[in-house]
Amino acid sequence: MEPVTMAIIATAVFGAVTTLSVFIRQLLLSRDKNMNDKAQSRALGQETKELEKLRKQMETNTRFDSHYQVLGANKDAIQYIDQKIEEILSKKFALIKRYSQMTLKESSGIIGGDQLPERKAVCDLLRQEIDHEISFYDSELQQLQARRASMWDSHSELQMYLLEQEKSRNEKLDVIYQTHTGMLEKIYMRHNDNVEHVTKETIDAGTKSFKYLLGPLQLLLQYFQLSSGIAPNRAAGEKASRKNISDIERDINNDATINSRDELIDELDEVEELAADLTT
Amino acid sequence: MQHSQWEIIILKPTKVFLSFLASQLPDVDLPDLSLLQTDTTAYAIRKQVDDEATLDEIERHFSFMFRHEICRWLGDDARNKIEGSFLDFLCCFKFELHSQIVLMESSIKEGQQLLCVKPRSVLLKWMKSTVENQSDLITILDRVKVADIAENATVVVKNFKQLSEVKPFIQHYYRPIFKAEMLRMCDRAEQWPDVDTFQTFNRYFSVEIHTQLIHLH
Repeated sequence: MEPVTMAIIATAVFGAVTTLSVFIRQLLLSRDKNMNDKAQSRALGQETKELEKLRKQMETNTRFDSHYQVLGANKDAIQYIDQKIEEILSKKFALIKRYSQMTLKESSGIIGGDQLPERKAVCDLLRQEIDHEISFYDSELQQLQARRASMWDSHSELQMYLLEQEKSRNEKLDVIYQTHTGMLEKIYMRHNDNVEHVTKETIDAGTKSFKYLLGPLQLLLQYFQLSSGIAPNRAAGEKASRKNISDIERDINNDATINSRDELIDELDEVEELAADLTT
Repeated sequence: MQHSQWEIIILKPTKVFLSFLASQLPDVDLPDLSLLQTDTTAYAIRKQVDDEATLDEIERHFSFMFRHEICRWLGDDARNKIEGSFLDFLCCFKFELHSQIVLMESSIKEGQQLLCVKPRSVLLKWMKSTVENQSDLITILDRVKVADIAENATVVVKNFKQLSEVKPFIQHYYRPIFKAEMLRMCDRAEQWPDVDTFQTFNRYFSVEIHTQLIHLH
């Protein structure tokens, strides 16, 4: 082996002198965890501001009303339907606004360390309720728009313009709803990843544990948009390359493990802990 | 020992990133999470004055790192709106910071690859046996996991022409690597476990290979 120049460069994070007892005492203060959590809180704050902008845009929306001057005999009826449509869009907006505030609070709580599966279950139930209500509002909206169309007797281009405006508002509301839901789901999933056994859970694709992970993973798929410029064969090459690295690591790291009774016992302990986690 | 001017960020993909890849490649047989977390990218940044400044630096470069991670799986031309979201980046990756560096190239800028030396549970057991008379330390160690002692684990910056060179390299240089890793925990060499063969080194530590070290400075 050719000689190499070697330098140890380091940062004394916890003081100049390192003793084992000092090292042990700081072990429970994880800098990595603290930094990851801080970064997420920072990013959540940015996300909150962005979503706040969107919500403000929705609040300052001015409804198109120029058509009232040119409509004929059904003007009053159309004005009444317009008012009903506006009420539905406002109700939907109020519902999504409340939901958004809840998701931001929950997301912040998860980052801060509250990770109660029961709370997530309550959020899931609430979302199902809101899905149901939104679906009802959308159906009402369609019916009212259809009734209005049947009464519109002149200047159909104005009706099209009005419809587009309503459609755009409704779509923006759906985007806010989807964004908040996706954000909460991703943060929840991300923090579940802090569990140390996750890597082991996925080792054997044929086990129950892998199927257990598939549900939440699939749920997230809807929150990602498709990329442009995907090279379809790249993933297979990357997977093969990492498999090769994994084999080399195993070759380097397993030499002593097979002779190490201690290590084997530890591995077995971890597998037993994992099995216990999965059955509870 | 030189004072570090650099810090290494290793990005560990999470289930959220696996889910992202699944959404982009519905017909591809993707790896499981453990393989996704193999040969993860390492990034070098300048060591900052404090953690807030380090976070600023990570935030400044997250979009570049996110794109690089996506391109590793989807190809160099792949682009996705998600690259612009810091929160999505942090959901897709957990970052590890390493400032204990063994430099085996002429300068860090020459480094294209690195090895990360991670303590195993046997080292945790050794710690317990070393402080068995100090109940306060034992109480702490009973709550500690291997991942906790592996935080800020030593990284060895070294380029390899072929990956088959890695094992002979470790077998040859395990002593200085062991020294560097133990110095992180305790500077009294007489307290360290006896490591006089590669096999013994291997009982206490495992090695992770990172074939990509990208310089953000």
